Parts: sequence; C-alpha cells; structure tokens
Amino acid sequence: MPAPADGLRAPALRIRGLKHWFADPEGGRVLAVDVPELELARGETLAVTGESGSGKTTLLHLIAGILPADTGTIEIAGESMSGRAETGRDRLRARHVGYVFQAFHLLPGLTALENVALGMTFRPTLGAAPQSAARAALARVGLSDRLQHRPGQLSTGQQQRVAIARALAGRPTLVLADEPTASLDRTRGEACLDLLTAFAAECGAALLVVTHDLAALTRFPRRHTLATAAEARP
Amino acid sequence: MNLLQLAWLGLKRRPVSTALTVLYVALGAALALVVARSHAATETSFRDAARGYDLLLAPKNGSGLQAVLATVFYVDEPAGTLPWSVYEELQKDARVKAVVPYAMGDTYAGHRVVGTTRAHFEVLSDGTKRPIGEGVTGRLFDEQAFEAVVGSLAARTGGLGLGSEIQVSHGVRGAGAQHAERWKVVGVLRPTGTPQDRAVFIPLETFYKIEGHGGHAEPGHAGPGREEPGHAEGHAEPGHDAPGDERSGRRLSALGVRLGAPHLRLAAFAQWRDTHPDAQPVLPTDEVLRLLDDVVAPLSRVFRGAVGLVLLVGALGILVGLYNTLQGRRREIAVLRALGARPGHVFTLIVLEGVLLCLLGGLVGLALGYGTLAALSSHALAEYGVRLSPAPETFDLGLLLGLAGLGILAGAFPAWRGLKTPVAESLTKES
Repeated sequence: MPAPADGLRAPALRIRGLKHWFADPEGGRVLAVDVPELELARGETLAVTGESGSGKTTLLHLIAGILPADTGTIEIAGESMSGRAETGRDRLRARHVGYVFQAFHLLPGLTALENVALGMTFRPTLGAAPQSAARAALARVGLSDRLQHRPGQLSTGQQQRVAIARALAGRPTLVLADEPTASLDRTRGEACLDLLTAFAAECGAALLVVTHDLAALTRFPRRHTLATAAEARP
Repeated sequence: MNLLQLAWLGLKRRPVSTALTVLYVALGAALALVVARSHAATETSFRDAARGYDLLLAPKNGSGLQAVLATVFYVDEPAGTLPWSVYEELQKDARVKAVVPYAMGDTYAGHRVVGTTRAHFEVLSDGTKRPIGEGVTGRLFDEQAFEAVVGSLAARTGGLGLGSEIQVSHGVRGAGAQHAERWKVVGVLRPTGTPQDRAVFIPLETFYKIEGHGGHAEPGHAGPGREEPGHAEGHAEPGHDAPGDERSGRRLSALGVRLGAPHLRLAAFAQWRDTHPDAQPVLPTDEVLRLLDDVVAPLSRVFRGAVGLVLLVGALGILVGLYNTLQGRRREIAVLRALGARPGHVFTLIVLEGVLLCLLGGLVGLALGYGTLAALSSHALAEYGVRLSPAPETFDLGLLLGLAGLGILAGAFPAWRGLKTPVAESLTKES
C-alpha cells in the first residue's frame, strides 16, 4: 500500500479504537488491549506502562503488525496497518518499524555487524548500503571496536546497544522498545534509555517504550497507562 | 546481508549436523559419479572396440553377436570357419582399405591366442585413436617366425616378458592338450583399454604350422570328420583351391574389414550377405549396440535406480535434519519475522539451507569421486580394459543441478513448517 502524499507530515503512529482479545480456556474472550486513541508524532517519545498482563507487549505486536488487530485502526506514517494481509503488514513493518526486544534477541551465530545488518535485510529500500549503515549505527552506540564480536562475547549492556543499533540503523519512522531496561542494572538502564532516546531523536524517529520500570518512566514526559485486562463476552 | 549469506551462517551455527549431512550426501554423490563414469567407460570401451572394423566376415553358421564376441572381444567361441579364398577375394576388392585375417582356437594361460598378421596392430586403435601397435615394448612379430606379441594384461597375469617362451593349449577354453610348438615373446603391447590387452598374438603363418593346423586336409585336433566349432584348421575347399597353393586349403575364423569410406558399409554388407555361401557379413557396431540395449541398458537402469535411492535417502536425511532443527529455531524465525522478513523469506531461507547442504555434499562428493576414479583408473585399465577418467564432465554439472533440485524438495517441507511458527508467541516466550 503506497504512502499517501502527505506521508511525511502524517504522525509516526496513530491509533483509533484499538481492541484485541485473546481466547480464554473456558471458551470466552479476554480483552487484552484496549486503546481508544493514541497519536505519536515523528521525533516524539512516549512511555507506555501498565500492570503485568495489561497487554503492553501485545500492544507492540499489534502496532508492529505481528498480530492483526481485531478492531480499530493503526496507522504508521499515514499508512494503515489494519486490514492488511500478513505480507502487507510485514512490508510496512520492514519499511517503518525498528524493534528493540526485552531479551535483545540477537542471533548468536552472527557478529554484531551481521546482527545489525540483518535488521536491514528485509527493508525494500535503503539509502545507504546495509553494511556501511550498520557500521555507522554501531559506531553511534560506541561499539566500533566490537564489530566482529558475537553476542556471547559481549556484555549484557553491549548486547543491548547492538539491539538498539539494529533497530535504528535503517532509520525507521517508529521505534518500539519492549522493556529495554529489564535486563540491565539501574546505571546501565539509564545509559540505555539515554542512548535510545538520543539516537531516535537524531534519526527523527518516534520512540514508544513499554516499561514498568518507574525510574525509567520518569524520564519520559509523555506517558500512557494501559488498563488492566478486562473480560468480555464473545 | 542476503538470504544466501544468512542460510550459510545458519549452517555454520550447526557444524556437526551440517558436516554429517554433507558427508552423507557426498558419499551418495561420489557413488553416483563412480557408477555413472564406470558405466559410461564400459560402454565406451565396448563401442570403441566394435568400431575397429567396419565389417566382419564370419562363419555363416553362427550369429552376428557370436562373431563379434569371438573376434572383437575374444570371449566367445568362433562358430565355424571361412575358406581362405574369401580373404583373397577381399584383398582384391577395391572398396576394401584393409582386411585382417584371424585364426583362433587355442589359448595360453586362459588368454585367447590369435593368429593374425601385423596389419592387426596397424588397423586397430585404442580409445584415443592411437594404433595398438604403437608404443609396443620390444617389437611386433616377424610374420614367418615363431614369435608372439602379448597384450599388457596377458603379459602381467601370464608372467610374460620379452624373451619368454610360450606353448599354447588346444581349445578356446584352454582345457585341451598343449601343443609342442614354442613361440618367443618379442613384444608386449601397451595397456590400451581394449580386448587386445587380454590376448596373445602369433603370426598367422605359424598358426598353420601347429601340428594339426596345417594348410592341408589334416587339421590335427579338429580334423575331418570331427571339426570343432571355431577352430580354424585346414581342409581343402573344393572349387576354391589353386592346385599347388598350400594356402588355399586353409580355414580362417573371421576377417576384419576396414572399408575405403564409411558410406560403402551398407552396400558391401548387402552384397556380401547375398553372394557368400559360406560367410556372413556382420556390422560390429550394430551388434554391440544391440547387446548394450538388450543387456547393459537394463543393468544400467538398475544401477541408476540404486544411486537415485541413495541420493533420495540423503535428501530425506536433510529433510529430517532441517525439520528437527525447527523447534530450536522458532525464536530465530520469529526475530526475522519481527525484523520484517516475510513468509517467503523464511521459506526461501530454509530451502536455501537444504540446497546448500546438497550442493556442498555434491561438491565434496565430486572431489571424492574424482579421487576414487583416479585411484582406480590404472587398475581398471589394466584389469578390465576400462578407461576411467577422473576429469570433470558435463554429467557432473547435471549431478550438481539434480542435487540442488533434491535440496529444494528436501527443504520445502521444513520450510513450510517454519512458516507456521507463531511469531508473537515465540518472541514472548523467550522474553
């Protein structure tokens, strides 16, 4: 689906009436995510919080198009994620979304450089060559001297920085970070958030961070709290 | 980074499993190469040997195939004899470029003893078109002397060298009594990869000097009234003999004919078929093709089927191997999907791994096969007259392409299963 002409002026993320249910073992449905309205401009940051089970990670999966939303609309850079087939959602995600996982999810057999380049493998168009963009991103996160190191040879903090470089090397419109400080101690967690927000700002990307870390939350002027999951009849 | 690099990195991450699978496919590919090359070399050997002559003239009371097997391959008994006059007639025929007489009926240490002329060594050649008489150790025999030239295999297995003396035994199966005459070995042929390697050659003139083989009516071991099939002996041929010419009563086992031009072949065949009451023309290449079609081709199909099964089992091994790794790769697949990989990317990635395994196995297998062929080549040439070539051929490329196809088939099912990976669940479980 082509981007509208005013794609560059469109917000990085726009959500309207989003609801998603999971089936429960008794045949009913559990409302996992309920976001009536949410908008995030390019370059803006937002922290999403909520209790355990409030659907924070599921919300990220819905925004990224990994899961299809049951109702409502999600637009990324003016392009609708809703209503697209799986392949269409994959394309939109590859084009606009960078993802930082809680457990980093670096592929163990690949070097830091290969892991970052992997993040751009599936992007349909990219200005810079993936290798040079990956090198630049790793340099930006301070890992120029660790290009050929595999994840097992890196510290936890370094792995997180590789994950951040992977998410941002392709200059996405929107960066989704799922509990990025959960695996780090307080000092490293703060450093990670500093890096993430600064790098996203440099790229002009909107940043949506899911966290239940109160210290992390204080660093974000704008926050959104998800309601606790509520049961709904099918 | 592209999918091919990613597939290669994926294989490198599982070195033991990859190495074992590659080895399995390699053994299958090596087997396929060696079997195919041996089969082709055997066929070539048959065809080359049969191409030595445009036509054979053989006794009328045997089949064409029997004549070829007896005269070209030295493996069957000649079906009878021809009058000498046919030889003389062909020598005068303008269409005939060369005619070589053969008289057979004796053996030495299990090797066929062939009475012939020096023309035999000039007319026949090996698979490289080099006359078999070239490169002889020693020299060719004097046509009037009790001298012998032996094939390379006959020399080795019979323990013969220059200066050795041989006595031949009566009968093509070697079960008869030993003749009193002795021949001195004056030449040993180089290995030619032809039936000539297995034979012992003596001058035709001396063949008739063997007691009982004489140019006249008393053939000795196959004299009048007890003629033995295939044993060229002498008894008078009424109507053909020139009085006083001792050769006219001789009999021959067969004649090899080289014509002046290939297009004369069918015309000469038809004419001699209709005009010779005691001889039949035989087209050796046709007989060998028929033999290959009737006997060798079915065997070849069985071999090919067996090799195909081996490769299929290799492909199944790849399928099972890739399938078994899927469970441990759910997170990897989910991460790729989260990074924007479409189902087609995941499918292609896993299929590429199957193709890479097959191609790697194929390349290692070809190397193993070439090594095996190189190691066997001298033995095969010396023992079986088969010229095995360890050099790459078009077939090898076909084998690699076939293996790539098998890799696609082997990877398709695991790849299809990989598409079923629940992305969100796999990402969350690992979180």
